[in-house]
Amino acid sequence: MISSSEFKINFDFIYNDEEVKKNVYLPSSDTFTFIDALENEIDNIPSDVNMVLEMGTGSGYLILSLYELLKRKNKNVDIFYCVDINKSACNCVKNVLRKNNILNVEIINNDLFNNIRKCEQFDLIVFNPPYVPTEQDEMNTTNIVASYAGGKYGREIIFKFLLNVYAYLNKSGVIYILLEKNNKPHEIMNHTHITEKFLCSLLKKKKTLNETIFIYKLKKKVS
Amino acid sequence: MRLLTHNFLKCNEENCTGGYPLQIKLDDTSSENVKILEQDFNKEFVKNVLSKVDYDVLYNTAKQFGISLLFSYTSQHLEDEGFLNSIHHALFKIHIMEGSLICPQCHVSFPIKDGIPNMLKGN
Repeated sequence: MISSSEFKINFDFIYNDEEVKKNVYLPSSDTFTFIDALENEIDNIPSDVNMVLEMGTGSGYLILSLYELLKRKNKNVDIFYCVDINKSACNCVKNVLRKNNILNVEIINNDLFNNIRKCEQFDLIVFNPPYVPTEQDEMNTTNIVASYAGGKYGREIIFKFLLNVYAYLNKSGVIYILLEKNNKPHEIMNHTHITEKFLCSLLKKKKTLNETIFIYKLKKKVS
Repeated sequence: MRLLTHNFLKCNEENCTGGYPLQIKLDDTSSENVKILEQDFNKEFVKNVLSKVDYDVLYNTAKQFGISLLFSYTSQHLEDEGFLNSIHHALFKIHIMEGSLICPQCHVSFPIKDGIPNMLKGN
C-alpha cells in the first residue's frame, strides 16, 4: 500500500497529448513558483477543507499539485471545482483525473464566475490568472490566448475576478492568487474594494529573467 | 456533472432574469447519459453544503432521478444519518454525463458532454 507521503500524480498526459500541447497552457515557471508558495503554506490550510475552486485550471497541473501536497499531509478535501473558459483545458483536466483515478472533482467550462450563483460555498480559491498586458484584440477568446491575455496592465481579468469573488467565499475563506509586476500588484492590493473586503499578505516574490511573480494570500474579512 | 453543481448553475444570458434552476435534459441517444458513482460520506461536509444549496431545487431535481428526499427538514434531521445519506446520494453520487441544461426563461441550451457543462454564451 502506498503511504500518503508517497502519493504522486502522474502528469504524463499533459506532456504527451497533441491537443493539449497545441491548445492548453503548459506548466511554466509561474506555475512552479505558485506551487512552491503553496507548499510553504500547506500547514496553514485546515485539515478538513470542504470545497476548493481553481479558477482558470488550464492543464490542471496547479490544482493537482495542491491535491498531491494535501494528500501527503493527510489533509482531506471533499470536492474540487475546476473552471476554465477553454474547452481543451477542461478536457485535459478530465483526462489527467481519469489517469490518476481521481473522482471528487467537478469541471465547468465557464467564463470566470458567470453562471455560478453566489452561495459563499468555497473554502479555498486558487487563481493563476492571465496576467500579460495585451491589446483588446486578444481579449474575449476561449482558446489558449485566454490563458495569458490580461488586457490593460495585464489585469482586466484579475480585477473582474477580485471584484466578484467575495460572495463565493465562506466566512473563513482564503484566496491564493498570482500577480506579475506589470499588473502593479501594490495598486491592486491597496484598491479600496480589496482592502475593505480582504486581509492581504504577500507569500512569495520571485524574479526571473522576464518577469517578477507575486503570490498573494487574501483572507475574507467578515463584516 | 453532479446535482451539487446543477444547484449552483444559472443562466447568465443578457436580458435573462429568472434563469434558475436550469432544466436538466438527458441525451437519449447516449448509452450512458447518467452514472451513479460512489463517494466517501463526510457528515460534516453534507451538513455544511446543505446550508449553501437551494433545497427546493435539490428536492425537485432529485425527484427527476428517482430520489425521494424529505420535502423539508428541521435541525433535528441534521443529526439523522439516514437523512444526510440521502442528501449525500442526491448531491454527489448522481453524475449527468450527456445532456443539456435549459434555461426556463430564455430557453438557451447549455450542453453537457462527458460530464462537463459548457456554460459559454451563444454556443
